[in-house]
Amino acid sequence: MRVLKATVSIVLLCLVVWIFNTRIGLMPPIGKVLDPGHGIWKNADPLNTSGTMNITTARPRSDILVNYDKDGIPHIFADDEFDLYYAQGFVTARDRLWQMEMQVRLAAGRLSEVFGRRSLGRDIFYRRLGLASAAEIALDSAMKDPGTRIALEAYSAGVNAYIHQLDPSSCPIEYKLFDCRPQEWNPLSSLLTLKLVGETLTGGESEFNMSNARMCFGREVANELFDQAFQDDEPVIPTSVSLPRVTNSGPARTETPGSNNWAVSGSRSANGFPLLANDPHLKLTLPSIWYQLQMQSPHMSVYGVSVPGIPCVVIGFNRDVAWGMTNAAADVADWYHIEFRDSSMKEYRYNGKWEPAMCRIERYQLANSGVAYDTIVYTRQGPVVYDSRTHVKRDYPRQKGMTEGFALRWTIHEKSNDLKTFYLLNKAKSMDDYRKALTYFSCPAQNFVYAGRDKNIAMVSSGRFPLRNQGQGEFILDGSLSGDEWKGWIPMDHVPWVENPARGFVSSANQVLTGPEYPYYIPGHFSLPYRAQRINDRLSTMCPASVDSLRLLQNDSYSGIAAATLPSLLSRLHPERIRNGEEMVRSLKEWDYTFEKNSTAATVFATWWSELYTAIWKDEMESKHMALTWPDYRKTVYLVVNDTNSHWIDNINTPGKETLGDIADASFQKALYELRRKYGPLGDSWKWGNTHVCSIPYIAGIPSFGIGFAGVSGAPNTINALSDQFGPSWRMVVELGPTVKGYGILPGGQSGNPGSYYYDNLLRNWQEGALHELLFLHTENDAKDHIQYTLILKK
Amino acid sequence: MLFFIVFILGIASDLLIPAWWSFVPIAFVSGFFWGRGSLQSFLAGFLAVTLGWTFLILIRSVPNHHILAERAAHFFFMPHWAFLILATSLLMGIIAGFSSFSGYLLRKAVKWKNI
Repeated sequence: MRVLKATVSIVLLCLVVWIFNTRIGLMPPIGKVLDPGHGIWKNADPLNTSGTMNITTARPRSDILVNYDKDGIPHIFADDEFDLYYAQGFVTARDRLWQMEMQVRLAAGRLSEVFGRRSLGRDIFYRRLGLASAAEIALDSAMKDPGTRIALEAYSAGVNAYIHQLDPSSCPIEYKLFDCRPQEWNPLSSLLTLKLVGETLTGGESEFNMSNARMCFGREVANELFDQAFQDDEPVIPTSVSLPRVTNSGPARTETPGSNNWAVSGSRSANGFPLLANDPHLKLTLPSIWYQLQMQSPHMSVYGVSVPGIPCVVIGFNRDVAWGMTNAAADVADWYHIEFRDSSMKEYRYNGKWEPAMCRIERYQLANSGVAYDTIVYTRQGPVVYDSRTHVKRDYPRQKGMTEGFALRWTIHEKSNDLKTFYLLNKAKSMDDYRKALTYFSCPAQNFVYAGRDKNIAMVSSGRFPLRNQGQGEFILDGSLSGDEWKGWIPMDHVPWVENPARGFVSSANQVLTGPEYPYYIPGHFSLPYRAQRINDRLSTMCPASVDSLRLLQNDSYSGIAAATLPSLLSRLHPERIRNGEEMVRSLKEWDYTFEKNSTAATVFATWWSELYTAIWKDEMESKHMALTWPDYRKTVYLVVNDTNSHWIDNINTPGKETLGDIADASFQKALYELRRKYGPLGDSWKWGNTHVCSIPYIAGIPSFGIGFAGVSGAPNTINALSDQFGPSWRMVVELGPTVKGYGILPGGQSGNPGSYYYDNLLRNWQEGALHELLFLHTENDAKDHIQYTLILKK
Repeated sequence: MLFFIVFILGIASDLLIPAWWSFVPIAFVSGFFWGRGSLQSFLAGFLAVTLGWTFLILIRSVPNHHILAERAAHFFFMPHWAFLILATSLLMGIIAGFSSFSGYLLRKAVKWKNI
């Protein structure tokens, strides 16, 4: 009996130890994870690290010194270029290794190696998008260039030096939670990351829903509803600038979250030198999308934000120049309908004949065990992303009896060395250097703003723009017709640009790029014009401009939509029909159209506008039982202000004919009902800062590592375009001059470690619209009071 | 005696050996040699590791101001960092107690001295 008892007890003990040592599904190995000596507690970084740390690594050519300032930002001092990028790789991995690896796995379609079958669908989609082959093509170009080659190789060596000195207990916390080990880094990893950024910035798949709209309403109505070209929009490139002369007239021009950038010339600034501001708006995440750093060698000194995984600074400044980017929002990807001969998908119709397709089998290794396969079919237009087997575009009607697919033609697949743009910008000394650097940029096109100590300012919408026929690419194209193919590229010296315009500033806010005189057709997913109009209105009266006036402009929450529509809506509203709404109507009449956190009117308007928008479009858009993109706010503004008798306003589901006044009354009543239901009687709980709840999720879907917050100003379609999960991912203002000064802030922090103080230490000041002075150190002994600790990478 | 051996060796082994379960054999062997009864064996192992791990976790978590503990607590659906530290230590304490108890049972089974 005693033997039995002891045996049962020992077996049970072993079983418990085994269970606590094993990852089961996504449940981490609890014992390993909670081990104080080697588990997650090792990632609890002490708050006040100070002094000097020495790390001996394999490859630097001489000692590299890295001063970390009090915001956790590294300032690298290296003796040569190799060591500079080596240190960049090392310090970035030290703070962001898991994020870097996840980005590479996402781009390469290899997430299921860590997360198992639940990530397989996404992996298949990403491999079909072809980012991996695009990165391989880019690698070929980048390795042929001595500059980008050294940057990529040194950066990889630095990341690997960091990985090699890790043991399982010193790995980032996520490797412990998912029980895996870091992957080796190589130059291809960096280019996969670059392509992933390109994918994020390329617009969506509007062609599918546009084609549906054409099917439902006819081409003319679809164009009317979704037209991007409003004559009174202010384009990025002012209409007054000289335009490229095109002898062969070619196709003529007819013609969404967003970013802002602008530069103000010295003639309008307080110190006589230009000022530059940039706040790229993206889906916010923790850790932050950007990683701040300063990199200095005897030949260059640059400060700004980089993308973890990619060498060089992407947005920033050096002693002589500052630059920034917004998405040009041009359409650089088209979808082609492919008709296959049979279900084997080995041949597809092209110009009346059957052409052979190229097929490649992809193998997916799943976490723990198991393998999956997928065949990617390549046509002359590009890879087939959706097809009849598994991935027919869900929302698009199938054609009966046909094996069909949708191939993607995308500028990201073209041969290019985009990295060289940043490599050269980091060292640029003049506007000429900046213009030269931009000629290497390919996908997707960006509005690069420039301000220099040479007192020049400029804006160039740089990248590869396909040469298309009028209207080509708005709808799904026919892959069987050579006539539907792209016709080449807009020449690099014809891309939209402006230098030192008479108005004394340049600006962009993802709006339409060019005026009607521009000789090429550039379609896009352009943002509504309201942010751009507000920026231009404010800049044209801002004299002298200063760092603080530009910071305030970045935080401006004036709503062009409200200003345009509210007078018309209030004049049509029948207050006598609204129960208990007098106070809300009065607050709207007194409102200054700003989405400030203390405004109650902002909440009332936002809810009313949303109800009104639904009331106008829902009846028609849902009557067709097909996936349709609803017309945007600009079309809605147009109906409310200019076309108040439009048939779209009537609710087709009622026998009567509703007027704008009827719809305004009903939607106002409904908005008040909703607000009272959610927030009780009118009071402080109705303030915009309370009702506008934002969140910054953690990258790998662990909710407790994300952050939710309220109490902030700003709203979509205002300059401070903060929506529930999108917003300014980096705010920067740079004052050029004899000594350059930079100011900036991230919505989060430098560290990717949820257990670090630096994970979200900047968030509060970012919410309040403050900027931190960016320490631009000239020597390694500068500003010692601001240095928290020093890291030396030894030979 | 049993408590002190498991407490000291448990802390030392966690710092030196990269395996969270290093206290399990220590508690087992200690229970085998120094266990004096079922309850005493269990309690000595339980208390030694509960206190030992609480100490080990706190020396890391206090300088961190419990930032990690707070986020990790939410990851495991707990409302406060203290719950995570307590739950971790108690859980490991139970395993340790169970281990020294098993050691004691083995000694009884093989009739090693005095039993």
